[in-house]
Amino acid sequence: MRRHTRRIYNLCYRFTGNAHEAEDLTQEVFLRVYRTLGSYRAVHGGFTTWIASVTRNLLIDHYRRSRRDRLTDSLEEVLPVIEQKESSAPRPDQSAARGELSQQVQRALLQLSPELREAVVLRDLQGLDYKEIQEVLQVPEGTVKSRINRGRIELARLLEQMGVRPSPA
Amino acid sequence: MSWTCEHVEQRLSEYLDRLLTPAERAEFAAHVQACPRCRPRVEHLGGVVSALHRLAPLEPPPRLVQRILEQTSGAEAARGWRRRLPGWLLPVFTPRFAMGAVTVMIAFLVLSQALGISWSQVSLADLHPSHLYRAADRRLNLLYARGVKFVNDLRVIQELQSRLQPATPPEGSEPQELPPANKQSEQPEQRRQNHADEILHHRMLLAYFGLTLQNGTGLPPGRIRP
Repeated sequence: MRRHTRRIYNLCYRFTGNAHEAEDLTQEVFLRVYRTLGSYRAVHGGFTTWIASVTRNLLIDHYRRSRRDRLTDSLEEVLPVIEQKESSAPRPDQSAARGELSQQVQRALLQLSPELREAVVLRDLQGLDYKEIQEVLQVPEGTVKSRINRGRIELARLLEQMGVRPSPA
Repeated sequence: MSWTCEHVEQRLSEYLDRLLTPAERAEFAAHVQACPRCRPRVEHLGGVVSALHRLAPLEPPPRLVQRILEQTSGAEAARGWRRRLPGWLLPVFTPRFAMGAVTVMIAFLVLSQALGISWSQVSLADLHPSHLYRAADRRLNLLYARGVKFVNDLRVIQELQSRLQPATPPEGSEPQELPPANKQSEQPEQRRQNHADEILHHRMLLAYFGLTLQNGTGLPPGRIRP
């Protein structure tokens, strides 16, 4: 339970970059998993992959919803409300992310497109292999390879711009 | 075939994840060793990827686990007895179904009242369609007969009232003003006459409905005259 919570929370946080949203989404994932446990079939892949799929679907829903909200907000020109929201939400570097590199990675991740972001997070932060990512994203193998590669190259470029040059282990 | 910079860039992640065949790997390495543009890029990307792998996972706040446990166990407790029911029976325990059931029961009660069904004396034979038909038919006939009687009574009353009306003066004649002295002397006489007429009207009505007054002065309906 605790292990899955950590995995889901990390996936949500790395995708949204907001601790509050990550908490709410993790909770939502667990409720959905709990309700749809009957539909889980072991033949379709591992339990971790299945949970990652549920999380990913929720994240995409959340992303679309928040993007729509942002568009509506900008149309209605409610700038003070946005400022208030941003100031009230805990900043990642205050509560969740530990360490300078983690924050820099998070900032760079948020600049990637959602497709590339989810591919990199699933591969490099969640440790899923290409086959599992293919199952989670429901896209062909070639697309998975391409997204991971483009996402990593873009992330490396953004980190380089920030002056981050991690040395290989 | 020797690899170009584009080839290397496209297969960079596969190289880092060790998904290239040995031959591809050799080609890749050969190009990177010789290319001053690709070498630093591959090194930088390798460093980034291994740094990502080394990143410690973030710890979720302790209250999150608690919240999830409360939520899922709370839902479990709430659903407790329902979970033991078969799936097709679950919609029965919804407000919509309960409302529907109550409405049907009320409609059924109203219908049974209208058909004159007494639930204390009901037996299995009463539920036979022919019995139900007869009961409904009888009820309808009774209702119709009552309606007819009511309309007839109204007609009789109308007839009585029209006959008991005092004669109206002929049209065109002016009502004559009596001299004051004469008027004063006739007032008690008129009042008595009116009172007597009123008593007569009442007696006639009662007589029509088959009642006789104690003093035997009631008139039968056939002899009513204004």
